[in-house]
Amino acid sequence: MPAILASLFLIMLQAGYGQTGQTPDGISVAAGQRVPVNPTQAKYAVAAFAPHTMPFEEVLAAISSSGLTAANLAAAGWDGQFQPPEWLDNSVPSTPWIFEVVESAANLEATLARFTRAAAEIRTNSASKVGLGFRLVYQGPSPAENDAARQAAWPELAKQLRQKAEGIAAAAGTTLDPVAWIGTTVISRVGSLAGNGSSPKPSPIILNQDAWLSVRYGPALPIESGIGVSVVREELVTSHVRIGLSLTAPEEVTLTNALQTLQPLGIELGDLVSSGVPRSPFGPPEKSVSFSFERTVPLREHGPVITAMEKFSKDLAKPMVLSFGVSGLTMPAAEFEARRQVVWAEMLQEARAEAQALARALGVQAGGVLSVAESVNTYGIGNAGSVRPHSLTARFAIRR
Amino acid sequence: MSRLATYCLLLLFALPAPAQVYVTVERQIPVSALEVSFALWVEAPVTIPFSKIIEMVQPLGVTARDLRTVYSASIGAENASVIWTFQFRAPVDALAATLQKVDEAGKQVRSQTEGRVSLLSFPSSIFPPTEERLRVTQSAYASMFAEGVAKAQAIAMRAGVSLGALTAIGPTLRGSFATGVGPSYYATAIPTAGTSLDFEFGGAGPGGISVYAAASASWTRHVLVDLNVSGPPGTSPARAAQLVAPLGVTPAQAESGTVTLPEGEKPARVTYTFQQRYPLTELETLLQRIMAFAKEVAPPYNLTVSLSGITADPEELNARLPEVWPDLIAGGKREAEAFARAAGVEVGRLIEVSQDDFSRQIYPVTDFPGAFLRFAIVRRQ
Repeated sequence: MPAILASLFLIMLQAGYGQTGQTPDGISVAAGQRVPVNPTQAKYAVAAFAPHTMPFEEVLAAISSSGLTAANLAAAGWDGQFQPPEWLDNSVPSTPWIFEVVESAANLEATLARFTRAAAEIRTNSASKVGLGFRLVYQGPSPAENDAARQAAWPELAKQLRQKAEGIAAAAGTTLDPVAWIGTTVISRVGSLAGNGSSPKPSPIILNQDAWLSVRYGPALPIESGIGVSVVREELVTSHVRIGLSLTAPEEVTLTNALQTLQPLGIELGDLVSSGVPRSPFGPPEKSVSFSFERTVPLREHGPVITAMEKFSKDLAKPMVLSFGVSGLTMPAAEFEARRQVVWAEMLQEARAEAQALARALGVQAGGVLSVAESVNTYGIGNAGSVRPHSLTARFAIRR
Repeated sequence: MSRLATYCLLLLFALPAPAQVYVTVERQIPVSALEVSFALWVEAPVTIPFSKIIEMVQPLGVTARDLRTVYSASIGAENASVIWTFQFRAPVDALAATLQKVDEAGKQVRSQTEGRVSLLSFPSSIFPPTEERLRVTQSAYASMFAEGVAKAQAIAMRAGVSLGALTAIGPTLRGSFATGVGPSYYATAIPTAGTSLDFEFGGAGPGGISVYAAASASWTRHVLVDLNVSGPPGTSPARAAQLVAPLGVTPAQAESGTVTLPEGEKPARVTYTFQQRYPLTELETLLQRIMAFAKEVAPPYNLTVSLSGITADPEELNARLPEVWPDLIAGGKREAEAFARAAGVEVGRLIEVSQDDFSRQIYPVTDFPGAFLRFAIVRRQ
């Protein structure tokens, strides 16, 4: 009998809590932890300044003593991060070709000495026509080390979150339901050069990363159920060169006239970026118009195309003036789409590995894919930007 | 298909189906009372303990609880100073009188300390007191709800659907309860309280009344102390940590690092910053210890110290959660009841608690980290 009374009392007590609104069905908690990583790698940006008509293959040959190859190419064009050496022959315009090099962080002094030596050799061998500049972008962990460090932190973070949620549950007079939702922040696998263009002086050393975890205990909600993982992979797109052209002409020149004039260079209406009348609030009004175009050509064709533009520009009837230069690197949309199909499968594997690590930390298992969302963003980092991210968000079922 | 069946089908399609409709209603409501928030900066030599600083600001009614942050450049040189930042409030009518009071206190402190301590105060913002803000915003909820219903009905009508019942209500997360903030010395009062509410009708999800609740409880102030260790290239974070290990530093506390490449005669250097958290009450003793230790660090290594803020101990916050919970939930429920009254419904049971992260660097602007609470909507019979 006393047991029945006690049970009744407990039921009444629970009902009372319900009435006063202190027993939540769902408890969401979130926490972040700074995870130490080892800065074992050093990423350098090396700029090769070469005459703008010099084909890319010849640029590579001219800087061969630096050990840089086409695989290191990361960006092209003026991005404001590098200044050409003062001694560089400036009788012809130059194009900066920017390469990224990853070395062991322990070899800082040896790497700097190597670049310095290579720069001196290149200057001598090219008769001051080609110059080399370099800077340390950052020191940090490799992507694999980064992932491992973060995944190693999940168990401790999961423990802290459980304690916190239990604290809330206890304070609210209830017990904790099973895990219904596990979420993390976006995981970026690559810190590419063009994405870190504005490296300040001195260069940063990455010593930690933030691991953020949010967990919901309670009944599953339509969207917040399962294990959600987002993966971002940045990719350097360097197969093609973007060349910007600007035609300045007397104000009576129309767009049709401009296109007819530039026809020998293969410029079409679709290449038009902008057109306008340069007007200054100070001084007399300009009597000219300008048309800006951008052409995309395969990397190997860059030299002949620029040479043709230079010849065309010299022969152009005055007072029309054509200016042109490399404005960046890119990859045609179809090529990028094909690449995405390959990367997407790898990224889903990464997402699954992360989901499994999270599941282990929370004492559950990651099941099948509940949903996958992918998105492609294109953005340019300055003019020389050549990074495009692939991003994927996947939700996996929770198995107990 | 029979004619009757066709009519029935047509009738079925002609009936507008309820749909989920979201609307947001914003208000700027006039208030009758305003307060000025003053920032008070006390610049003092690092050797003056915090307790002495509190004695100096006491005539202004400022207490240790009003401390907002503390920072300093590298400490190690003679005469290194620390800037203690406090925040206090006064009625808007007392603006001129308060500034005068600060000036007088500043003069007194300067003369007492032979110019070693200086006081600077400026009005940082003008806003309604919390109670006034709550009163005026809560009094507007009914008309905001009426506007929300009208907006939602108009949307539903245009879409050719019928408006479902209210399923969710809560403050717009992007909205802010803060009001006019003016520049220093020229702070202009904007005598309104801003509020923005979201309403959901015909929702299929869990819905409910969402509120953000905060509890009034203070916690132990800790100072963030940055230990900056620099050395030649090749110095690893572990080596740097080893150098300051006697101060209780572990490699995991490495907060950031930088490499300075050689330039001219200056060789390359690497610098690591280790961040430690110490109770404010122990700061004086601690700094003395660190500065004595810094003198012992031999070349090619170097140690400098700087203060970079005030923070809480997340473990303390977690441990004290049960203590603040009743206050937190009661405050949240009062706000939910104000929403419910306006919408002609009642507050049901608490269905969801979402606890913010106890961030690593909580500045003591709020007394205790709050939580998002969601209560069920109970319709009146």
